[in-house]
Amino acid sequence: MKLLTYKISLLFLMALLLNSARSSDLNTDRKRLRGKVIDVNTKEVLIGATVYVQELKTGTATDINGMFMLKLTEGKYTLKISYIGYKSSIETIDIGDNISQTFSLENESREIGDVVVKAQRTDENITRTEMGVERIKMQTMRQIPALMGEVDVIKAIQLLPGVQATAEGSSGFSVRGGNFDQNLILVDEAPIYNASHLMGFFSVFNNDAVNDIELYKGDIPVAYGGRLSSLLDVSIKEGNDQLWHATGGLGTISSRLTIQGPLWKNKTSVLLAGRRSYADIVFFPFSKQQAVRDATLFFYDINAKIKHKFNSKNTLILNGYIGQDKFGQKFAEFSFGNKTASAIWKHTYNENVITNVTGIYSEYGYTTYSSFTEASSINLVSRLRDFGIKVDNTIILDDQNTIKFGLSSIHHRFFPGLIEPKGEESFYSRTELPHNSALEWGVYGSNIQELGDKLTLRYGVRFSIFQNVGPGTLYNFDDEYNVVDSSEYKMGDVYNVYQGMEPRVGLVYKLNPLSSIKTSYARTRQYVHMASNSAGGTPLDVWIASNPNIKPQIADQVATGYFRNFLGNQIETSVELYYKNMMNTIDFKDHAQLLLNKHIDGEFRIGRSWAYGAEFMVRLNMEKWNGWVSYTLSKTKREIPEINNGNIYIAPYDRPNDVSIVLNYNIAKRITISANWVYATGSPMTIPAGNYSTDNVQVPVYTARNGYRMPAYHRLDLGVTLKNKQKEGRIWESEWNFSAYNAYARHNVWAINFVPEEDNPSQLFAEKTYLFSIVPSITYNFKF
Amino acid sequence: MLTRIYIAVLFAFMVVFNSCSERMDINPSELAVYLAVDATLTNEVKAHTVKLTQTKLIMDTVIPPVQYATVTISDGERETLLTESDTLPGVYLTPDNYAAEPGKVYTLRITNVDVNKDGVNESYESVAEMPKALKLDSVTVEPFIMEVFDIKGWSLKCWAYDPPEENFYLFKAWKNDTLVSDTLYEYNFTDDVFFNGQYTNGIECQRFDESKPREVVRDGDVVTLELCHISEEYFEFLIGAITEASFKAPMFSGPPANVPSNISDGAVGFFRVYYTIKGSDTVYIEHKEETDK
Repeated sequence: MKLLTYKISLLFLMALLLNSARSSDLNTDRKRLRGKVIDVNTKEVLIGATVYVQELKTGTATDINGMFMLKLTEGKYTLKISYIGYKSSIETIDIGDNISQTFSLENESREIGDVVVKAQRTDENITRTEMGVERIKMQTMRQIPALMGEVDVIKAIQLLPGVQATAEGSSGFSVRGGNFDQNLILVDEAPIYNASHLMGFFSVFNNDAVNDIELYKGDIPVAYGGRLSSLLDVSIKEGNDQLWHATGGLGTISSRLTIQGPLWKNKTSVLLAGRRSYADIVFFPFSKQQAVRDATLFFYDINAKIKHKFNSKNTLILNGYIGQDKFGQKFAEFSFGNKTASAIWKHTYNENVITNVTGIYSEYGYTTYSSFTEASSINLVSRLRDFGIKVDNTIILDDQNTIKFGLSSIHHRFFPGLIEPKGEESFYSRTELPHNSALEWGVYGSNIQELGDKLTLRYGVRFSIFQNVGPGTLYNFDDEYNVVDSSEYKMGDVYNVYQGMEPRVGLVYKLNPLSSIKTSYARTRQYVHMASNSAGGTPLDVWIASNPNIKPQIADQVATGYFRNFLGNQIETSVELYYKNMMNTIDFKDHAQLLLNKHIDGEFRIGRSWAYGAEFMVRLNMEKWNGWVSYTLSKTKREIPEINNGNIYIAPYDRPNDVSIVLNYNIAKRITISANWVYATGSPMTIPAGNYSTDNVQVPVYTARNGYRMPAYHRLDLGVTLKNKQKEGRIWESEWNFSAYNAYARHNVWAINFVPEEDNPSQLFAEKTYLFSIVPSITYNFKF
Repeated sequence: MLTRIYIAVLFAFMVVFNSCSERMDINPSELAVYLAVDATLTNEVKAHTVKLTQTKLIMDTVIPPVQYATVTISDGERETLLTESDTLPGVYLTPDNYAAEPGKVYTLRITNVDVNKDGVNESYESVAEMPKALKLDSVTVEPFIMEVFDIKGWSLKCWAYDPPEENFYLFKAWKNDTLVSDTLYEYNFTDDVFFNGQYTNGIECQRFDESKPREVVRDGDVVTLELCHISEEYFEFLIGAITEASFKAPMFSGPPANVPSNISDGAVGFFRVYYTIKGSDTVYIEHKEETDK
């Protein structure tokens, strides 16, 4: 595989050197239409406006500068230019030579930019060179019936083909058989290390603040690295630089408010979004139990964004996020949360050369204290922190070549655990697990090259380097995972280096304007890993850096697919086949101790895993209907010498059949009805075949890891959204959302335990635990 | 360890609060039969027991004892033959005056059994070293209350020095010479990560929960803390056993796995050899006099 990697890298370099001369000779009989789409009143450029050539049934979309380019043969064409929140414009244009033109759109209503979709071609499903990319429009997502009415980005992601929830109610997700720590989750370029609130029932993303989400299922752009399975790229709205307005919602669990507007019209915009749950404020005070009245249980998060446009070539964007969960009692409390910040400077040299420089900060940590008695009072703190910088350049070399290159560097600092006595009476001594640091570097280059009308190539390579840097302590283990000795490293010592090429290539062959075939190969490497042996992850999980004991995880994924659009791109269909081979797959020894264990490296067990499958997707982008129907057929297995007696076993997130139907229907101008139906093969689990008695309890005996499947999971969710009447001049707009999660009240298995019979404790019976029956909810959303 | 348990309980509280359970039918695969060993040896002078049974299918009602085995324990110098109890089938006893000694290595041998019923007798062996002796300075008993779980009772606290090397402890509670913490669920066990090499200045080691009838204490009751200095292997066995015998949920639990064993040839269970020491205190209830008046 290593040889293949280097061969592909070499091919990439050769192609990069040879392509420009050849490509410039192509398509010389066609003329270029360069266009710009702006707001007729404010003259602001409109990013992501679609431009559709009616005669050719094809189109494009404007880029971040509001620009687009079409190559057309001589003749007259009718362009339909559209943008959400604006009246569509029909323009007739006569192509005789290369021309440039500006198109103006008129704002349809007072509202601007509730939903801003990134630059996206109408036929992107056909033309996009990356495979396994999923995008959910926020407008669609907000109509999906949700648990307790809380529309959630990650819960919506879990409905996509190839994506599995790690457990019901969890914010963890597995992409194409990968572990839930193999997903790079970025919010405006800053990584999020734990994306869950309230033990995973909600994610950290406030849907009012989210502008756009994209999920790359393995074929990750070379600009990104560090995770094996996927990239979930979440961007927060940039704020309106023309008008002040607010959106919000009152829900059964939490409420939210987002305010955005211009600090300096046309120059500086600001967005501030906040959310808080309030069970402890609304419900707990009325409890009869003092303990409940004293309890704390809430989460909050705040997103902030400031964008300042210095001039037409320089823009600075500052992003911030802080979120926290807190629950506990007078004498015990647990809190955890993320803090992220990023500063992005966008410099446009000219319309063809753009540089982004990004500074990144991310921190995840938890704190817990317990003071049941003065003698046992204790604080426990764990934290990890990233500082990073990233430079990304885009050069539109010519009509056929778009080159991207850049570099990134992240400094990881891990503070796995600090135990502190609380108060003078505490008998605990201060104990701190050794800190560790690492540097992760990435250099990349890629080109998207059009070879004629039908063939587009994307080829690139990322070279990543990972360095363990002192100060740090490394424990050395023998073959039986016993600690032999330890090594101490001073500040600045580089005591271990991993590095490797990550080639990523793709090919799109357009069969006709409405269909294409694609194929891709991607290698990804992961250098930091979550130490968690639970199925869904907990806030107590710690992240561990690769080191001489823990090799980086490496994945090679090949995929191919057929893509076909119907009804003028209103219906997108696709079939994707993939095979993924994962090396140095991580599992943990039986009954691993992952918390506060300074010898945690010895708990890791390393092997290999592989996944393959087929994903079928039908997506509707129609005026009345939107949503999707998907089916995934897949298999994921693992082989780790010390687990399951070295025999191959089914991976934890293997669910061979997975169906998602997500449909929203605009039944009338003010009424939308929505329904989800999901079906998945039951999760694999290990069940006991027998038992014996020890220390007066019954202990199970297992035969094979993941040798049993839970009953199939299926669920129907229903929702209806009623918008209030819009009146001329009325500022306040609102809607009611009524939903029923698990509408037919299926008792889906969450856990199975084997419980002693009351009259004969040595006899066990199976008891299933389910989390939800039908869960109705009402949410009131507003904007003004 | 204590903090870990508290956090886990808090989590479980949140989840269990919202979940429901119901019985379901599962037909597990056939299980080969294994020898299950439940053997204990301490420094106390008494008849120590080795209990031999077979593993059984989970739905079966009876755990079959393994009778007529030859069971010996050797301390490297002398080998002792255990005799099967007349009243408890499958329970083998040392002589009444037997006591293990700290620092010695003990070998348990089980022969003359055919658990898998293939017509050929099997033999099993286990080796365990008794950890060194400890000194327990004193034990105190104090009332405690935990409002969040609506429980109250009495804490048993210990005053002892933890040696500088890594140590593992098991705590059991007695009331008036009756062992109260007589199941794994009631044990308390820990490593010394929080107090390594320190004086355990009144650490809570066990408790009596007044919501359980057999744990209710009265004024004048003599309560005893049994401190057991255990091996790392037994500590890991206890972690494995409590993990597998407790409620499992995908959010918190690792994958199920067989509990580690120190018996050879595929047998399950454990041969535990540990040093034990006890300390007592008398319950004094301040309100007694007022109540009497």
